[in-house]
Amino acid sequence: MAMNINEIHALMDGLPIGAWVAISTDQRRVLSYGEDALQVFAEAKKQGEKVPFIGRVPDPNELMFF
Amino acid sequence: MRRITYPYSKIGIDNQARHRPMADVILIASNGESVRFEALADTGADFCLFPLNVAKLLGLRLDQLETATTTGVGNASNLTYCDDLTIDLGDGIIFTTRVGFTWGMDRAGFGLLGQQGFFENYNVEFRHRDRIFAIESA
Repeated sequence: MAMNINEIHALMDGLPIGAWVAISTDQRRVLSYGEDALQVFAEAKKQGEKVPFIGRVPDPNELMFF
Repeated sequence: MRRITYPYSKIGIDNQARHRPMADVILIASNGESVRFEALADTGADFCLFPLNVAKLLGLRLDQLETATTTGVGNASNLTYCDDLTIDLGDGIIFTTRVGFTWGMDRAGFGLLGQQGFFENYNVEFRHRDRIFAIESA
């Protein structure tokens, strides 16, 4: 089942821009956040999440081009 | 036929908001490790590309991966590590393809679903005015 990215981003509100964040699969909880992606991932796994969602808090003022 | 419809992600507020065709994907490495991540459906990307940190989360050893150089806006040459991964979008849409990992994507914090593996295998409908897009298997 696909997760709703906007609901995931809503959970990131108030967290530091650019921080790595782990979100629970049920899209209800921030499991961990910080500057180190590996540490954030490890802390989420410690909480029993087998496949946590990992992302970064987006910067609303940043324009992106690829 | 399988079809998944997603709302565009919305970053920012009001008329300053950016709307992007983002999907959540599960990346599965050959070692069995997996991580859930967000990825932009990007017709301009030649292949699927993710932040280098994702390779580390998956436990991939960079010194054992093939390397290539990739080019994007602002960066003429990015060292990119490559491996074959399975990408699962859910609802039966799943494929295995060569994926690149580069530091250039770490700032973005999401990946790109590109031509190879993704657009070549699925019909993708963008309805930008409605802020939705759909991925459809044959």
